[in-house]
Amino acid sequence: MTKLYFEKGVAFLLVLGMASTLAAGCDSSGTGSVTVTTWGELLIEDGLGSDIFPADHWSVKYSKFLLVYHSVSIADESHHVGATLDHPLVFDMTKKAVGNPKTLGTYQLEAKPWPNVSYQMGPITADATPGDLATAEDVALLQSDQATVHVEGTATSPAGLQKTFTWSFPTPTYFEGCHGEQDGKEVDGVIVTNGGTQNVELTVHGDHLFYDDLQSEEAVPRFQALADADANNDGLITLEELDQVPLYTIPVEKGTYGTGALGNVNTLGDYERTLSRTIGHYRGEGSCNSKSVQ
Amino acid sequence: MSNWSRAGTTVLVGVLVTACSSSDGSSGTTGKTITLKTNVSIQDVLSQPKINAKGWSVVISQGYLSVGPLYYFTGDPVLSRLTPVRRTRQSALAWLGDVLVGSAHAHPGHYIEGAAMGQTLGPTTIDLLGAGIALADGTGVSGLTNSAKFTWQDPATGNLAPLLQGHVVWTQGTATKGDIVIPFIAKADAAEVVDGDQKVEVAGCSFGVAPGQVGVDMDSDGTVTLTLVPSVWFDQVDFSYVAPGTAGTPAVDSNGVVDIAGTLAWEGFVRGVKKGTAYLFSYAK
Amino acid sequence: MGGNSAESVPDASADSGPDTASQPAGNVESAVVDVQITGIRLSPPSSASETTRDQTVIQAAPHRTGGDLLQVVPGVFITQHSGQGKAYQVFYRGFDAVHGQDLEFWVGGAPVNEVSNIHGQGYADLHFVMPEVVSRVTVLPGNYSPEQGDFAVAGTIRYDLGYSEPGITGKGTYGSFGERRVFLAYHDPDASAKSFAAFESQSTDGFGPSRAASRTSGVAQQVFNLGEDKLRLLASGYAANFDSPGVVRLADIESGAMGRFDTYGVNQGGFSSRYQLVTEYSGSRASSDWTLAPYAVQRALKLKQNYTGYLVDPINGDTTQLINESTTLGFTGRFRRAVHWLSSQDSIEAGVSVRNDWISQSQLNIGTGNERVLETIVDAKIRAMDAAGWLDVAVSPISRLKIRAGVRVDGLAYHVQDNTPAGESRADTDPNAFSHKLRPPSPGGQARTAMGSHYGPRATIDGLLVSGLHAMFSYGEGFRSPQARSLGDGEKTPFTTVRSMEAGLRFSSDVVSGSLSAFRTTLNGDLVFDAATTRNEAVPASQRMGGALEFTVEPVPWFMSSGSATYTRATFTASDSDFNSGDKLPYVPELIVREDTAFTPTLGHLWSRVLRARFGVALTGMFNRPQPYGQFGHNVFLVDALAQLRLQEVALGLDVFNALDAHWYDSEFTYSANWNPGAAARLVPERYVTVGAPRTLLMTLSLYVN
Repeated sequence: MTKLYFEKGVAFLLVLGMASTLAAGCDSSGTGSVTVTTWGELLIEDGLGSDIFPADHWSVKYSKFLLVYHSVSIADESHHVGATLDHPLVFDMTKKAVGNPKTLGTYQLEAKPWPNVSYQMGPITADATPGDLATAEDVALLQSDQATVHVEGTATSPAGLQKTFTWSFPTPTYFEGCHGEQDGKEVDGVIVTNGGTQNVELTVHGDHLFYDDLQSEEAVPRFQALADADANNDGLITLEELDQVPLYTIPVEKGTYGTGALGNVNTLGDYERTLSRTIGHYRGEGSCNSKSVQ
Repeated sequence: MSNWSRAGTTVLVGVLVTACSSSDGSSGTTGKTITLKTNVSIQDVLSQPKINAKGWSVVISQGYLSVGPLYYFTGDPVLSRLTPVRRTRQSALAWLGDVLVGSAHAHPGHYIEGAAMGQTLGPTTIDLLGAGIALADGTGVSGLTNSAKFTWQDPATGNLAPLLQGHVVWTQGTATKGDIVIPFIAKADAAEVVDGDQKVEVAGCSFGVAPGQVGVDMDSDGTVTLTLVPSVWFDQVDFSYVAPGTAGTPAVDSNGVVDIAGTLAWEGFVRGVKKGTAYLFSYAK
Repeated sequence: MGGNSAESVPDASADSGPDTASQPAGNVESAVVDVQITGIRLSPPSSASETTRDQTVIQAAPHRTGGDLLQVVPGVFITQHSGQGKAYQVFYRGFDAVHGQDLEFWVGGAPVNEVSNIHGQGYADLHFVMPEVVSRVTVLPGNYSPEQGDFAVAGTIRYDLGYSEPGITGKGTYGSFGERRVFLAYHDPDASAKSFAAFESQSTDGFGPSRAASRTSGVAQQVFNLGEDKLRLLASGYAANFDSPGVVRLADIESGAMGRFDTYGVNQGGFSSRYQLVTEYSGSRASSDWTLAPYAVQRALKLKQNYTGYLVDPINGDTTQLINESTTLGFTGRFRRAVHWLSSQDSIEAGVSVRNDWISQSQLNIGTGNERVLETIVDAKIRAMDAAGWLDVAVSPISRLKIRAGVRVDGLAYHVQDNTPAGESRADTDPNAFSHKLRPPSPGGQARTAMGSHYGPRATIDGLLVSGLHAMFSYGEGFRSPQARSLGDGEKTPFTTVRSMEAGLRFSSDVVSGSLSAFRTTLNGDLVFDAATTRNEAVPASQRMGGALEFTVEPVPWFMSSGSATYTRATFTASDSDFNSGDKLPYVPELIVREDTAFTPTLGHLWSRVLRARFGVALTGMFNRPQPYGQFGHNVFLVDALAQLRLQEVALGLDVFNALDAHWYDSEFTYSANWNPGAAARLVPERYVTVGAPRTLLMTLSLYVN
């Protein structure tokens, strides 16, 4: 009889222990670390060589590439937000980070997929502060121009002719539903693993300010039409000068400058303002839905 | 089969088939198929002068447009307001292991159409100075619709097709600025209106409760209206490039009319013809 | 698990009742001979609707392959949308199990579901089984038994193999549409029916264009008695080649624009092969029994398919080639011991199963018409492992009550090496090809690993109301594993989890047996694999509620009637952008009815030989098949029949499929496709169908040598 009770007891404890231990363990997924960084690639830091302009072989070197990240959000499948940016941060993408990349924030999140990652460039607000390697003067410049993105640089033709440009783009853009490569696989947002570390890079594509079509898959970077817009030939290309160049006046051999079905892109200035809203990417060549902010 | 089991099955089937249908005959799955009457209207009174962005007053005396199939989608128009793109699975294909409508990510100018919500397939030719016409009924499925695709039919069809003279859009009118009066013809072929993907279409037009609005829930049979805004075609046309005495101006014909083809005025016209703001779609019950 | 049957127990009844324990013989008066009965204890049923269909039911109506046999399972409806050799699409109790993702299949002790098959998770092809060698089909609806593992979302179906015709059997079949078949089998009359071998070779021209198919297979099983233990060896091989007509637009058929059996002329079809080896070592002692069954399966599947015509690629078409090859090694082991805790009928069982799959798979886009390879979409190697352990306790606190409770834990591990460059499989692309060239994706070859576990409690309460009538209540939690390629590195494996419960009555007597049950199954949220993006797309939570009636009547040895009716209402219980809470799930039929009736009279004697007849008829009905957008698909009602005369060594039979020559649609879907490139594309979802086979007659001459 004692043996029988002992048997029953052992069996009961075995089942109960197996069940409860695993039931508890199965629901726990742990946490992992996510660091949100930003990088303008070597194209912004070192420049765009003439091989980047296969049609007209200009080259471009940025001296300043300022932008403001107004917000960043990491949310799960139910759109429950797990991480956000505390306040707007300004970065100069031409500055090379030594050691750690330019960082927006580091967060501890539950180990699970976080498929809804979004961020917004602009507008610049009074509470914006310099991010890594940026200065108070960078912030002040964006604030005075009320710009989301401000670029300055020098372009050089194959013959050695140089043009400089200084452009401030005011339009904020919201990038949502970002997806990119993680460990060799397309992933929506980011997958956080138990005890793991993930780098979510907001990548800025500096070549995107020079593509010669908004829609075509065959678009390539060009600069000649922009250089020709220097109406007073003072070597500085301004947005106001670009606003004086109707797209239909650009001969096709200098670029198609197609605008898809957009109804309000008529001049090179309109065109550049539209291109400025395509520079935001995700984890390298990953991309997001870009939308107007109203 | 024994008598009792045969009778029982018959009764069971009859009761359950009756019980399972809803009162409107729907199977109870999400959405429904709908019929879409389709009308074309012209917003501009082209016979009345309208001043474009270049300061020219433009009057159209004749105009024809070849209209091909029209399609309506869930995707947002190009460069839309801050609303999410509705991602719609094609349910059958998911179950067949072959889903095609995946996630959509757009740049400004890059239109992702999403799932097709409706279509009107009958092509025709439109008189731009007419009162508008009714096209063949279209078909669709219920749900939120945000954008549309306008296509040209090439070669054109319909009673007015010969008037297009082989083109997909043909207009004749007069542009006036100060003392300069320019009778003109502006036209384009299918090959000249292709978009960046080499398709004879304007993709990413707005679709909403009214022309120019975005987003409407097509929840029942209704009417889709394509509102043409031909003034958009001429808005950026600088007719000074074809003014008498301007270098490069084509010769006028025996009636004193200049065909602007090949000039920068024509380039402005063609860019206008390809703008989505000239083709506004709306739905009403 | 297969092979869990008591040879010495006639299994005509669906009610296995309490454990049929070995009864050690005792010494009695010298005039009585000692008898010792050995066999494996039958597991008590885990639910009221758990049932078996033996050969009396299986052979009542004609069946072409082992896949067809699924129709005798109460509540199952099968469709074929891609050629004779492709696995059926299976609907069961409110689930569209696709090709097997929600139904766990075992044949002869080997698993049939293919983990992470590139065409569909849990792909289960039963065409390798010859219908003549299936001795029993056991159905465990829901997931109430701890033995049920991955894919047992709607339930588990097991085939036991056996052939009881003594001596050598040879059959030749010829019939409609060039159907030809040769069947050969042998069985030692002094051995159990589980010892046999069989072969078949079959081909058909098909009832319309692009429907030709052929298959060949062989199977051998032998049971060795090793004293108190048994050893069962099973080996089989199978290969099939088949064309597929694809789907066609319903409006094209109904308008007469194309003939009923016409196709769009796109080459589609496939190849399938399977080889398996099972060894089952089992023993039974006075108070315990055990089994250990290692198995090995090698599978290959090639499919060429095009469901959308020229929708995605208007120039080259949307044809894809899928290849999936896998090697599966695993084992199941269980040990059950009788205990005397609350009664002498109590028992405790422990089980372990391990399954390891090595999979290589690829997907190519193929030019429609010129068959040129255009693009590699998938090129991956996967290793998947599922190790499980379970405990199952059955006690009887009072004589009329049995309580069974258990728990199963599965641990799953994945290793995926994806050789396709990341991002190539995306449906959406950045329009800038130049930008892609500047930033090429990872070249591929990265490996990702992931692990996860699932804990599933199971319980059954069985009350004996009166003799032969039980009331039962069952509860269980099951799961389905995800496609391995959908997993991120280090990701905790997401499962589709299901909760099932059922209440019902189970009855049996000498003449009639059956059950009447009500069930409810809930999924917290399903995952549909998006092949284009390799991501799992979430579908809202859903539930299935319904009832099932099934019975088998054998009032006299020469008459049998077995029928069932299953009604299920499958609805979403949450909403997303595509589905609303309360709306029905598309494609899942609501009412499935089936009736198999057989008459096997002995007509007399002729030339000193017994003259027997066999007449059988099967009625299959499927009603209320919801399509998307509030539409209904077409109902189906089919009659199959057979008639055979046998004069001992010779038999002549006639099988008729679709005897009423019903014009029916096998599969129906609603989606967008474009089969007229160059014409205006039809982008709005429309109905696409595969047309069901017309009346088909097959004549079979059989010879028996004993």
